[in-house]
Amino acid sequence: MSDTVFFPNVRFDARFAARLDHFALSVRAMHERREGGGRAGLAGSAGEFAFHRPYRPGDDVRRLDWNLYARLDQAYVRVARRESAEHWLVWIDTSASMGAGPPGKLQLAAEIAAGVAAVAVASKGEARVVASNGRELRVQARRELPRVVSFLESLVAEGVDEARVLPAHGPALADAARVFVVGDLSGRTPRDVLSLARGRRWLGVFQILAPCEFEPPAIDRVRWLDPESRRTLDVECDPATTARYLARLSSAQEEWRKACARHGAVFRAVPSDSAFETLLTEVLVR
Amino acid sequence: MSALALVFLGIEWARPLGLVALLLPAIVLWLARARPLWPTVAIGTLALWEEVAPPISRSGARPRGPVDLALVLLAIALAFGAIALAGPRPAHAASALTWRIVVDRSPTMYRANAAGELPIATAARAAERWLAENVSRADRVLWQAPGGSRDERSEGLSMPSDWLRAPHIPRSPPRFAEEDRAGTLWITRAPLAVSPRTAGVCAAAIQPSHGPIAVVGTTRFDWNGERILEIAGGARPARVIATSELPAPIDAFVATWAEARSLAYERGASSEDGALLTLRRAPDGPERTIDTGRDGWRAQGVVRGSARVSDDDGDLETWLDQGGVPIVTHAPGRIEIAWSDMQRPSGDPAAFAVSWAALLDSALLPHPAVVPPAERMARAAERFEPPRAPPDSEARTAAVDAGPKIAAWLSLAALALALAAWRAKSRQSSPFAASSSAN
Repeated sequence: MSDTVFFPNVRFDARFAARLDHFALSVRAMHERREGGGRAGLAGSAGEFAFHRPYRPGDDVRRLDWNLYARLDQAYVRVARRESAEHWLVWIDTSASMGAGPPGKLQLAAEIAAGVAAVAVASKGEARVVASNGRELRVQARRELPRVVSFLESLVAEGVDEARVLPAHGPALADAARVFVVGDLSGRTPRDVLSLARGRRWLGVFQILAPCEFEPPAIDRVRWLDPESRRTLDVECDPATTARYLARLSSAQEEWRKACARHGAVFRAVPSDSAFETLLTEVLVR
Repeated sequence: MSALALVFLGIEWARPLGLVALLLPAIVLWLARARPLWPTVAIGTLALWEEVAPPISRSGARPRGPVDLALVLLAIALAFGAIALAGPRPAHAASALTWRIVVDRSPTMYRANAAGELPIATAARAAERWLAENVSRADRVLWQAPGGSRDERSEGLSMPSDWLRAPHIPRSPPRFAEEDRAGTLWITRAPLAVSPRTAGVCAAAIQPSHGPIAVVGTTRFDWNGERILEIAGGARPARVIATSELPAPIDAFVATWAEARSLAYERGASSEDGALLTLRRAPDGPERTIDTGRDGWRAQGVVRGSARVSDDDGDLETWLDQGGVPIVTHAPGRIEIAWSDMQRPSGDPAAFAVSWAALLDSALLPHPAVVPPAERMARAAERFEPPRAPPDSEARTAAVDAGPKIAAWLSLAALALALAAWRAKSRQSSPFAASSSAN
């Protein structure tokens, strides 16, 4: 692919670690504010202590921290991490089609995975990052985040997406409270993924598309290449053809959206030049 | 000016090999045409495109598009750079200058020194060295040897090799005072009778040389470095010959004049070797009777044809004519007479004698072995002074000076075009920016 527009690698710049920290803290802060509304989010009332928040009418008085009240003369409730929120799983598609870009789709997928892991460990939980090529990494503490970054940087968009690779992670999925499926969903159907949305498990499906897939550029002609099947197609990107493509893409995405909605899962389609913070903030702080 | 400079397309190229770099833009354009203009882009939604877009071609042939603006700009930039590299400058820089080399072919230039070297050879070598180092290939180098009955000329960086041999008829030195011009180089020997002001000079060294300084009859006078020795019978009498029968009044006077000059006069001689003067009849032609004269004398007679004004040794000067028809012509060493018969001249007899004696004296060659005493005793070091450049060299210098400026402007234009090409390329590649195959 020496003369093909292709971006198979993942590279994090020097500021990425700071971005992760800032993102994790901001998500947690937003959750804390939302906890005031009494809505369950990342933390719950039982189990390991997570943090305090001001008491609001309607709170269970059993959660009041009387010692703190005695010292500060203000009422705070103890917020504990929910056991079911401790294990998150991020599945990343690393097939060759994820090299489409720029930026490469795998790049944003890796950033999303890193962001999820950062939020998970910031909330005293743990995250498991699983690549479609079978490699995986488990992190439980913030200090392990550099390992996640290194792991993600080692991923390369190559090979063919095995449609049934997700169920193979059944044991890892068993105790996962949240599952993030990140890929371009190329060659997949909703049925392949939505079987993961079982019980109270939260499932997010993130379709990442290259900008040129989202909005074909205004160029006369282009040779599209499927890096997995090596098929090519020479296309004249005239407005009519582009409109037909966009309509077909929209239809496919709508199918995913409806299927996900039926299973209580979240579906998001984003271009690969999006900021992972925006995407994750929107789905994690709801 | 570099000898490698070349005039091409009306422009002088200081480094013509740089023009080879013009192949670069051609290669770039050719490569651009050879590779497809369409980008090949990896996507994961090919299946959707296959559903909605009719394929243009599924063959393996790569589509080719027109050459894009960035490449054209780049090619022009490379062309400008190549032209700048070749060092263009106004063609005036290559306009030919004319250098004149005035060569003294008088006998003194052919007298070998103690080392056996001829002054003309020594001076010519010095001149040739200077010419090789300082004169452009485009320049014209004109060698001239005035002083004979006919000016000899030649062109080239070297003096004609046959000029190293003494001319058959001894020549007088050039009138150097009339040759004192810029772009002129004298080839002579030291010491100089006239010092050049704008001309250059290559003057061979000269050293005192022993030998004859005069011959009178059969008596030779030699200078031995200290004094003059009289050697009776040391020389054969110099010869004056008439190769054909001369009119009686002329023949009688020549005999008288030769006797007075201690010369041997031979009538009907078959060989001109060693003769200091040859008198001959003009080739036969229409016969007519004339009455002509000069210097106070007149004579009636019959002429056949006319005296020639040039022969193998050069031009002859008309001394006497009748109605524009040369009757007597002369040059050093020879006199040609059209008269086949001449009556006794009228007027003062002395006028005829003085008139003809002056003619014979002027045509008489010096004795070949005789060198004037002043020349025998002269000693002078060699001298070399380069000539000033010919007048139009200023324009040429200005043209040469303009070369770097032209190259600088061309380079600047090439840089600007390259930047424009880069910008154009950047804009073109924006749909798939971040460079192809980048990571």
